[in-house]
Amino acid sequence: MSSWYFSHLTLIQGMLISIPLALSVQIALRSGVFSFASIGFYGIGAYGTGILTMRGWPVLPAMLLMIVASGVVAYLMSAPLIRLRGLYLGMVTFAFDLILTVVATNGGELTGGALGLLGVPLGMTTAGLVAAAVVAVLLVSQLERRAVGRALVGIKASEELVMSVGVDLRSRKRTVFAISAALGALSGSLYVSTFSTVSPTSAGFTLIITTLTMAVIGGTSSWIGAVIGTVIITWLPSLAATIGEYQHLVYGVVLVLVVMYAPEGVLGALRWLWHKVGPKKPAISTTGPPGRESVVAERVEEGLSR
Amino acid sequence: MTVPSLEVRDAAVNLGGVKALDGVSMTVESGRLYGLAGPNGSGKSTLLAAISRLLDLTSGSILVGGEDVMRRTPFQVARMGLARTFQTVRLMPQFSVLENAMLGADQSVYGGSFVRQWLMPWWTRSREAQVRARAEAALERLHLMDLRDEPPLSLSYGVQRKVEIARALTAEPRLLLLDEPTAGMNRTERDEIGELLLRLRNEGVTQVLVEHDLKMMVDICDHLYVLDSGHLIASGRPADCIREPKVVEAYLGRGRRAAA
Repeated sequence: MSSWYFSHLTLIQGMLISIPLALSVQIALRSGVFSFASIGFYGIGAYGTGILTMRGWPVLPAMLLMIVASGVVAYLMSAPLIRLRGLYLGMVTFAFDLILTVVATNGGELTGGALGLLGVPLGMTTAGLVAAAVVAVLLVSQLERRAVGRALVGIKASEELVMSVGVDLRSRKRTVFAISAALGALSGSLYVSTFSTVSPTSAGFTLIITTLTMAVIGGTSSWIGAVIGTVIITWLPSLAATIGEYQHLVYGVVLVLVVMYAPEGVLGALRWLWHKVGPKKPAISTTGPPGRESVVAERVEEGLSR
Repeated sequence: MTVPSLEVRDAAVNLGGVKALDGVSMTVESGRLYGLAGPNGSGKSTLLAAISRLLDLTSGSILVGGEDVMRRTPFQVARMGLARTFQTVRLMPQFSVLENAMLGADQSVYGGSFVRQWLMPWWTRSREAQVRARAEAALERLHLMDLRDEPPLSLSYGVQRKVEIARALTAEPRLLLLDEPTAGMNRTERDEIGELLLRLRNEGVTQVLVEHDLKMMVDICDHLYVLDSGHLIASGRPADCIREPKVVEAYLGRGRRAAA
């Protein structure tokens, strides 16, 4: 057991670090906010924490500062952004991530240029990573419950609906944007203080695709989906070593297949299975789907009552 | 003299060059049931959207409870006691019938900041119970309690519309806007809804009802407004209103009127 643990330690750490990041994309998508900005804040968290700890800051204060600062910056930034709808927001936040990559590459000594930061002090234990992942899951799972959960899912169903029931739509979307950014910064800070390095490419295009794949494959309807997706995407390449260099091609194909055939992800498929084989509730005869028969029956009934 | 529950003054809406509403004025007194009729595309839904502030007026103004709401956002108007149903059903497929109904009262019962709603389960517990009780009462009135745990999309269209009404009732509104609440329902279900609206009226809920079923409007409404191509063409007692030549013409066309 322990030899397995040590030989797979990097994967285990990577998985734990990815959980907050996958959650950051999941909560955005779940609330109908199609944003990749959290990947950019992952980079900001990684570089920020790296730069601060290399200048002698202890890890925890550096992390906290980057997380809070990212949340605040994201909240301010979101004012114009959340006016954008659907794909447009996706494109702008995508560009935001790529611009940050360029900034990191050209940041001179501060960011270490194309090589990035090397020799960042190690300050994170695996237990610390577990704790961070658990806290992230707890916070996100509370966003799915009670009035908060209904309002956020409502945004995705219909923005006009949630406004008409008294939800301050703009403020909700901005808050989701800020929480998503803070989770991204958390993940980046964990990464840099675990692996001691970060380069411009670590928060670029590849990470966007990988994280999106995690969230979508798992299913965006709940935090459970994001965790399932993270586990799958972390272990899939090591299980099928042959796909190594075609990894991103495989991700792409899997992503397309999932979106086409299982839009609710693995979680949705599991729920469907549970519905099929799980305990049966007594069927209610009066409420079949509005098929042909029920329409006919309705018309007959209407005719009779005239 | 009492302040009218709702007042629309000279409202106009231009949608890409089309005048969806043009100089419409109407007064809605508290505790009465108003009908809003008119052929397809006459501006009924546009007017409801404008009243609930989901759509901006090009000119004119709207007063809810005597207060000009043109600078208010939709959620602020909702918090003033306005609730509505939509012409196209808007339900959350992931949630049960009960939870969909609960959405209607969440904000008014919970109140408080986002952080409180998010991170203080001990604070939310009693509020959650209160919202649930309200939603169950609304479902009871619509005879939906047996279906409370069902996902809404597994239900027939008529039943989905009832869930939509239940959500609006859960808000316990003072002013209720109903956009074709009985579309897709059979005669029995329609009569049921008609009776429910009359009962709500007697409880003091002011209502504006958009319906294609003119017979139902004549049966239950206190007052009828008729729109055609964005203009108000008739207003008055429902039974009189629908006999006015302009109204007959709007519904049946010029030729038919000559034939009649």
